[in-house]
Order: sequence, then structure tokens, then C-alpha cells
Amino acid sequence: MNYINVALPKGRLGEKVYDIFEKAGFECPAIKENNRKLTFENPEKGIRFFWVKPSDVSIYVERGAADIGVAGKDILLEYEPDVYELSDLKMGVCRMAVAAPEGFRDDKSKTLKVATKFTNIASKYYASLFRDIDIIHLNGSIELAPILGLFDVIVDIVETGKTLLENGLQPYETIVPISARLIANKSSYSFKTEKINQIKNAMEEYVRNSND
Amino acid sequence: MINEALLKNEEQAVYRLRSLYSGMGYMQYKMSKFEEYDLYVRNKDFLISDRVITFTDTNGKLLALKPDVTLSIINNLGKSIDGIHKMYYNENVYRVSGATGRFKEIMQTGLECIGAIGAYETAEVLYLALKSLEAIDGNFRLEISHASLLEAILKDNFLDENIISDVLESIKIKSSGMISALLESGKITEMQAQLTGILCMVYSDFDAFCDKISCFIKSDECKKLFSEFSATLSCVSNDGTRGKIIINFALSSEAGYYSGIVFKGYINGIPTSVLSGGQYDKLMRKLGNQGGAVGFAVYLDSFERFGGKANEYDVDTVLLIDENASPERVLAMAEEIRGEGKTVSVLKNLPADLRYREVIKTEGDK
Repeated sequence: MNYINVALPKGRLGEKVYDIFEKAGFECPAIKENNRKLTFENPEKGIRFFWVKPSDVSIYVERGAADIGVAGKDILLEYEPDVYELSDLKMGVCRMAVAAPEGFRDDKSKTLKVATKFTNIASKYYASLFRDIDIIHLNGSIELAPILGLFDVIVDIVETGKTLLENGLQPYETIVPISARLIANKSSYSFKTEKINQIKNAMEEYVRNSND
Repeated sequence: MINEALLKNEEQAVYRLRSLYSGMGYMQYKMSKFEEYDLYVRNKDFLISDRVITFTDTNGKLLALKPDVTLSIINNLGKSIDGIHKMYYNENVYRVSGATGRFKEIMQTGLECIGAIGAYETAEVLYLALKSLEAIDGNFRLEISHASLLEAILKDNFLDENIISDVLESIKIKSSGMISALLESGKITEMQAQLTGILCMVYSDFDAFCDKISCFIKSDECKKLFSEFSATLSCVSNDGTRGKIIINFALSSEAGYYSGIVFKGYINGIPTSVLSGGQYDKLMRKLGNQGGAVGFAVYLDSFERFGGKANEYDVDTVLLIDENASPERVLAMAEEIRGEGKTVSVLKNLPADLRYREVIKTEGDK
């Protein structure tokens, strides 16, 4: 049986993504059972799902362990996996933004100190502005960096902006909009084109109808 | 007589491909492991990765462990090339692995056809790419595109050159989301979005592709290139390749140095491309050479874990000997066992983790 292997991101987004697969006709009821299993398959539909750490989805797809997966645009921009980005599922909508303390003024005569988890995105953004920066990679609680005087600005994902405001920060510039994307391994796409496009088209139709 | 069953996957591939290439008159080209670093600095856009292992030679020259073979071949052939040179190679290159981020030694085989090349030579190289994939495994796909044709189609249909890089990016990653965003922002028209959508898809049926694309082929230049592409494809398309040759313009959109056909080969079960090549006249011009060039590389490291079953045993027979064993007698016994078609390991003790079919003990001279 030639399965389509799907890497889903663990967590709230992954559960919402699975709902789309289900409503688009690629259901796998076992996935909703309350257990600690990580793989689920529906032989009738020829589809197999597995839960993966969100930042690992693109690795599983790039390396062919999964034929398709759902990953945030932030992960795709940061790690630049060699995959096809077939669809924008318009879920997990947020933006990559520069945030700074209220009243921040960029002194262009000095090197800008930037704290971020997304060093590749931040580097490319400021390179496009010809702005000299000192960048440091932090893994969490990025909002602390400017508050403690460690850095001038942060580059991070912003959704409502509430966390920033509560920490005395505000969005300063939007770098790029972010949302969940359906991605595919290039080799898998070559061999399973019809089935992958069937899934892609069904999901796009569901997303379109939901937004109308 | 070579027993192919004893060869590793990549060794089998080298053996079969060498037979294929030399059978079509390609001569083996052996090159040095080192090249002047300057060659790669000047042409880093052609390289898969711009990170290169360098060292200083005894004469003070900065050299590099080769990250690529094609650049070396063109460089060493010189600026004026008479006739057509057909050569193949088996070389190790040294590149950063995309997966690990570390330098890796990669075994690569491939061929180049350089000089006064024409339609025949291009078709021959494409034919050999197809045969190379067939020699490795019957379940393959050869994806083909044409760099200049894509350029001409976009030039015919997009007046604003500034939008072309966004369009190329959407074709490269097959992003319908990007096309929608360009349309919604008014940067492209409905017709342009339709064309981009057509170029994002893949086609195993050339006629189906023709039907969709024909109204977008406008200029004489575009028609000429389309006709060239069609003629090249018809040389390699037959009943045996039906469904295995795929038109995919995502390839051309990332092909900086390619001027004509661009292609990649995939084997079912291997997650990355195993073969990559095309016509790279632009690189020849950049290196000051007026001739044309077409070729491809096969990445042998991708075959290491492909197919086959893991060996159940490390050795068929263990011949256990003691201190009194006569070396002459033991060698004769080992030779006899090998003559039965078995592998044999002569040991004084049996290692705990050795997997074997049988043990034969000798005692003294017996």
C-alpha cells in the first residue's frame, strides 16, 4: 500500500490542521483517541499521520520521512528546507516583527543590537536595509532582552501583541506575514503527484469555503 | 568476472555507469583533488555551497579541496576548445552537507560534453541521464525543464521585469499562496496568475502541457525555444519512459548558469535527487570559453542506504584455530571453503558480536 506520510506539528495548530485534513476527506479517527501514540494510519485512504515537534516538520519532509507536512512560514524562512511550499492554509496567522521598548529610536550611527530566535530571518532583513547589527540567538523569553538592557530590539513572532505590551514593548516594523504552509518533499512529489495534489486541492477548497 | 552481489550500492552504480558511458565513447577523465581556490571564488554562484576547504600549498598558493568537478574540467580544457570533448569521471568532492552543516566527502560520477555541441549532443546527454537512472533502479523519474524557454515565456507575458523574481520564486517552490498574494496585491493580472499556475504544475504528458501553454508562447524566439525543447524530449520519450519523464519548471527557476535543458533525476525511496545536470553555456562564457557544454553528475552517497536487505551474517564460516595450527594447512582449509563460494574468517577466538553461519574448529594440525 502506497501511503502518503504526513508530518503534523504537535499542539493546537496541529490539531486544527488535522481537522482540515478530516473535513477535506482524509480522516484518520484513531488520531483523536486519548493515548500517547505518535503515528496513525487509515489504510482505506492510504494516509498516515505522525505528530512531530513543530520546528522539526520541515526536516522530516526534507529528509523524506514524511511526504508532506504543515510548517509555519517562520520555520521555512529560518531554516530554508529544500521543499515545495504547496499551499498557504491561512492558519496560525501572525507576523514576524521587530519589537522595541516604547519610545525607541534607532540611532543609525551605532550598531543595532538584535536579540532573536530567528537569526537567519533577522540577518537577511537587516542586510536588505544595509543596517549593521550585532545579533544574538536566544531560545525563549526574547521579550526580556531589551527590558534588561541586553539588546535594543527583538525579532520575534507577534500575534495579538499582548505579550509585548505587557512587557513594555511594542511592534516597530513588520518583516513578513506568517501562516501555516502545506509543504512537500520534492522526490515524493515526483512519484506521488496525483495523490499529493488531490490532498492539496481538497484542503485549499476547504480553506476557501471556510473563509467565504 | 565481477560478482556484483559483493559490491556496495554505490560501487555497483559506478561499475554500471562506467560501462554505460565508455560504451557511448566517453573517455575517463582523472583529475587532481586540488584546484586553485580563486576558481571557486569567481564562480561561487555555480557551486551548491560557497563554503570550501582550503589550504596553502608549499609554494604559497591557496588551494581548495574540490567542491565541484565541472568547473575543474572546463578550467583545465582551456579557453579555446576544438571539436567536441566527451568525458566521464568518478571523483570525490568535498562539500558542506545540507543535513549536518559539516563538510563531507561525496562520491560523484558524471559526464560532460564540451565544445561545438548541437541538438544531437544535448539529446545524447539526456539519453545517458535516463539510462543512468535506469541502470540504478527501474522506478525513477527524470524531471526536465528549459532555462531559456522559461525566460522567454516570462518575457513574452510579464512587462514588468521587477515582478519576475517573485514569479520565479513562486514557480521554484510551487506556491499557489504566493501567486494568490501577487494577484490580490494587483502586482499580476488574472492571465499572468493563470500562466504562473501552469508553470508551477508538473506534466508527464507533453501534449497536455502544450495545450495549456501554447497561448502564452508568443514571440518567434519563444516559439523556436519551445520547438527545441519539444524536439529534445521526443528523442528520449518512448513507451518505456512513459510516465517517467516529467516536465517541471521549478528546476529552471533556480538555474543561474543553465542556458538550455535543465534536469534532475529521482529514484523512488531516495528522498533527494540522485542526478542533476543541464546545458550550461552561460558558465562557459563566464570562464571565457565560446563553446557549449552539457553534462550531469550522479551523487553516489545517496545510494548507501538504498534498497537491498541488510546482511544477516558478517561471514559464512568461522575457522577457529589454536596455537598449534599449521599455517599452511589452515590456509589450504580457508581456500577450500572459499572455493565453495563461502566467505571465511580465520580466528583464534569467537568475538561476541560476530554473526556467522557455521563454525569449524581445527585442533592442532587437523
